[in-house]
This record gives sequence, C-alpha cells and structure tokens, in this order.
Amino acid sequence: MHHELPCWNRYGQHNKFIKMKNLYVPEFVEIDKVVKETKDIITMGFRHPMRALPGQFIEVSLLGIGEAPFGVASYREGYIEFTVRNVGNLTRALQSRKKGDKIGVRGPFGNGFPMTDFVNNDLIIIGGGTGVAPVRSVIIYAEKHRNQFGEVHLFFGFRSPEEFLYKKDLENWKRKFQFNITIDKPHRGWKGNVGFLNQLVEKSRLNNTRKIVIICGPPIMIEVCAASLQKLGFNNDQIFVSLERLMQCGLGKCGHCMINDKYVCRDGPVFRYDKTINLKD
Amino acid sequence: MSGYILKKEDFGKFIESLKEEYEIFAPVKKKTYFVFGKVDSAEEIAFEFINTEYSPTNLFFPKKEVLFDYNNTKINNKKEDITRVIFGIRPCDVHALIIMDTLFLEANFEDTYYRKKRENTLLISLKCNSAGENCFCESMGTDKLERGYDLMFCEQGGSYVVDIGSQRGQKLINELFKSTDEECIKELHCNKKLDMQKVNQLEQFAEHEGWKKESEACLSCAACTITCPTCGCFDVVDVPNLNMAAGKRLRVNTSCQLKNFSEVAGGHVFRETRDKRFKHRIYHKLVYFKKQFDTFMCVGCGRCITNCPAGIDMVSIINSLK
Ligand code: SF4
Ligand code: SF4
Repeated sequence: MHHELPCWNRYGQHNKFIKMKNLYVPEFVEIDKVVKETKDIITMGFRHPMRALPGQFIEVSLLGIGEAPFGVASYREGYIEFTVRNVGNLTRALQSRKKGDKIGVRGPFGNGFPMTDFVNNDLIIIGGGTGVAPVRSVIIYAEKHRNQFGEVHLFFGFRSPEEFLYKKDLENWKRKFQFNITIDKPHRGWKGNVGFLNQLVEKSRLNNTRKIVIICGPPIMIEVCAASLQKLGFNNDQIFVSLERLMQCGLGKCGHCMINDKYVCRDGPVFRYDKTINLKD
Repeated sequence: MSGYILKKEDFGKFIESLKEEYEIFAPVKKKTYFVFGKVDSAEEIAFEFINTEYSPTNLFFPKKEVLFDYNNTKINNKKEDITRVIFGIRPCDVHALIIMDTLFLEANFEDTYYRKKRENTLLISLKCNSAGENCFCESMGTDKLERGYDLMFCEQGGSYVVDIGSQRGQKLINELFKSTDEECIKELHCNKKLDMQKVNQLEQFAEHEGWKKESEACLSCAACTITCPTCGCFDVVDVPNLNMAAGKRLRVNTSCQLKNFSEVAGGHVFRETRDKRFKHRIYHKLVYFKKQFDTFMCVGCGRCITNCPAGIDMVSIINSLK
C-alpha cells in the first residue's frame, strides 16, 4: 500500500510530498560528517531529500539497539544535522559511528516554530545546554531570512566553557547578532558572564514591543526564563517553547509523549507558552 | 436491511463454511474465564460468557507485534495475508474498534499494521443476553450498535436472528440462512451507571485532592490498561539475534500506569506520582480523547473494574466527585 503523505507541517512553501509505505520503517542514510562538540556530545549530518523546519525532530535508529528522537539542529535544503549527548545505549552507540556508516531515520516530525508568523518582529532566542541544538535551526533560519526580522538577540547558557556547542557558529553569531552567553559557575580563564540564563535575560532590560521569544532547554530553565521575561513586561503569548518528552513513534500512537490532550510529537513539539500553562500532568 | 435466521443446529455447518476462507476467532473458555482464541469448530466456541477477560481488540493491536525483520539495513515487513472472522465480539468491543479507528487510521498518521488487520477481518457481533455487574455501556451509549459489524447475531430461542451490516457480511450468507421479518431486540439494563454530567465536568476536578486519596490503593499493576479494549499504548523495542546484524523490531504493549512510561532520556519522569498516572488514565479515556477526536475512549465494558486487584472502580470514583 503506497500512501501519498504530505510533509507534516503547516507551511505551504515547504509542503512537498513524500512517498512512504509504512511510517514505522526507517530509511537508511549515510552519515556525512561527525563533529565532536564536547567530550560527550557530537553532531552528525546526513543528506536527506526534505528540508526540516526549525524546531522539527527526527527519529534516529540503530537496528538492534533502538530508536530515539533528536531535535533538528540545522536548516538547509537537502541536509539534516542533529546533536547527540551520550546519555543511554543508543546515544552511546551513535557516538562510535563514523562518516560513511548507515543510520536509520524517520521524519522529520512535529510542527516546528511558526517562523512565518514571526516576520517583522525582533527575535529573542534562548537556549540552554543541548537545548541550543533546536535553537540553532532557528538562528540559521533567521540568518537566511535576515531581512524578515528585526534585531536578533541570542542568549546561551552552558555549564562551563568546555560544554560549549557549535563553537564555530558561536563565533559567527557573535559578529552578526546581539550575543549573550553565560556559564553556570566561575571557571578559570573565563571572563564573561557567570550565572543562570534568566539572570542574563533580566539584565538585558529588553522591552516587549514587537518581539518574539524562543526558548529551548530543560523544563525548569524554560520556567525561570519565562518568569524573568514576565518581569520585563513580556506576555506569555510572545513566548514559544519546544517541549521535551519521549516521542517513540512520532505519529501520535504510542502514547509516551502525551500531555493532557496534546501529543508532543504531533501537536508540538513547539507550543506557545501561554498554551502550555494548563498542560500539567 | 432485511434480516435472516439461522437455526442453532446449523451453526456448526456455518462455521465449517467460514473455515474454507477464513481463520476463525471466537470466545473460548479457559478454566474460569473467557478469551478470544482461534477455533477449528463450533464446539470450541463458548456462548455463556458475559464478556471476555481480554478484549478482542488485541487481535488488531496485539500485545506484541513484529513491525519488521531486519538484516543489516535490509528491512522486511511483508506479512502473510490472513483473512479472519471474529465471531462473538460484543457490541461494546465493536464500539472500541470504531473508537480506535479514529486514532490508528487518522489521516497522515495512519498505522499500516492496524489498517491491514482491519481490512482483513470480518466482525460477526453477538448481542448480549444480559449485562455483567460491572458493565456500564448504557451510560456510554455503547450498548446499541448501528454500524461497524459485518453480521450481527442475536440469540432467539432455538435460532439466531442475523442482521447484515455490510456487503462483506452479506457474502457470508449462504443456503443455511432463511430470510425473516422477525426482529430480535434485547432490552438490557446495566446496574452500574456512570454519571455523565460528572464526566462532562471532569476538567473542573483536575486538581481535586480526591485523586490522591483514591489512588492510594492502586498498585500500578496495569491490569486495567492491559484488559481495556481501547488501551493501545506501546513501546518500540529491538530484539537482535545473537550475531547482532539481524533481528526484529517489535512494538510491545505498555501502560501509562507504569512509572517509566513518561520517562525521558536522562531519567526525568513526568508522571512520577501514582495519583498523576491514575488520573491520566481516567482523563485520557473521558476528557483528553474526547477533545482530540470528539468521542470518549471508554465503552463501559467494565474490564478495568473487574480485573483490578485493588478493587478500584472508576465509575463510583467519578460519581462521588464533589
Ligand atoms: S476504561 Fe474500563 S470500562 Fe472503559 S473501555 Fe476501558 S476497560 Fe472498559
Ligand atoms: S488495575 Fe487497579 S491497581 Fe492495577 S493499575 Fe489499574 S487501577 Fe491500579
């Protein structure tokens, strides 16, 4: 049975059609590059016919070991990158894969950030830890569509300078955008900001006119950053977040990523923050 | 549609006639309870059941199912084409399939495995003669069945009055059946009643302290979800052969009542406490699914009540919410 399936997103201009006969079966792609980011984090890239939207995710498989969701960390025609922290069996096995090895992928899944709705706004992009991976796709999008947005403010938080991801990109973004970075604790040789991301956001004194905020990171980080933004006068409907759950099937069937009446995989992972307030387990 | 009548003494021959083309699944007796099993003859089929312990919807989303076999990067998901007849499925369980169709056959997210089984399986439903002590289908509106079956059998004295529900069903009618104008109506009444007004107000009770109290007895054993005809959540797991290159990817039934169900990479569990998991099941059935697909995800079969070792009864819990 062959079904013509539209790409799962709401953007007309990307709405290509893909042919898939079974949504549970991964396609195999060759790893095109592996970048070692930190001692336990790598970024992998592979060619893929579809352009993933900022904020979408893919399911990556190593047959015999398993499958897990990863946020898309890139925005590029015909190419997808994702970042892997070594936290379990699959992610450990992925760390040992090299250029030319094959991995299974399904997707991209999820809604992604509604970038076209953000046109003519300033963007405030906040990412903490591996939450920087999905915001990377947003930043690259903003770079490619620079004239669609006003100012772009970046806020990054990492545990320490050794944990920095995408070091080359960081240098590049430092030149192009309003760039802010902080580490959790003082570190030898580090002369920059120390403290949590929300303190940095608060210090910025940004006002809320024509601004959209994008936050990715652990739930607690999202919460404190949103609280700080509120102090600055931001409304929750200006804030967009990407939620983290275990999306297993990516199709709204397996039940793992359900929060109340929402499937993070199908209705998200991106939600407007005010709509997540009532999404309590 | 016009009805037919089949004499009980011809039932065995009818089953024989089905066997030529179909595998037959029907209620069979195991020591003290009933389940759906594959049968070879009419003698194996049990009729004295209220409903089966496990739901026949398991035949569509099994407890364990091979998604595909793999050998390195070669994937084989060819399945043999088996055509099946399920005889004796109760109206509530047909409703359960209609409900699960909205989930598994949702446009753009269709589940190939489920669709195939739905297409290859004919349903011969059997009306209930009496309601069980935990049945509350009347409250859920799932006691009556207007669609979703291929044939509907209704026991009347020494015969079955048979109603045709589909063209596929019509084709099963052979010379053993005589047409009739007779109607077979069973007026059943459930003793258990779910207060639907309360159900419609459930959202207001989301933060109710009652969930903590009511869930204290719960053992998180998952008997309620394993037996529920509309519980289809699963884990995806790989089972490699010894050489690691080849193996199978399976989906295995799991339960929101288990703690690790909502665990994410790194170990955080979103529904850590029992009351959260307990409430999630009930709210998924009666609130969330309704919001998503405009139908309840419960057919009032009562299996979750009958099989709960802690005696938890969601009907009385909901009815007494204040
Ligand atoms: S929730 Fe209980 S009564 Fe409702 S369909 Fe499931 S097992 Fe039956
Ligand atoms: S069957 Fe009863 S004890 Fe077991 S998980 Fe369900 S409600 Fe809890």
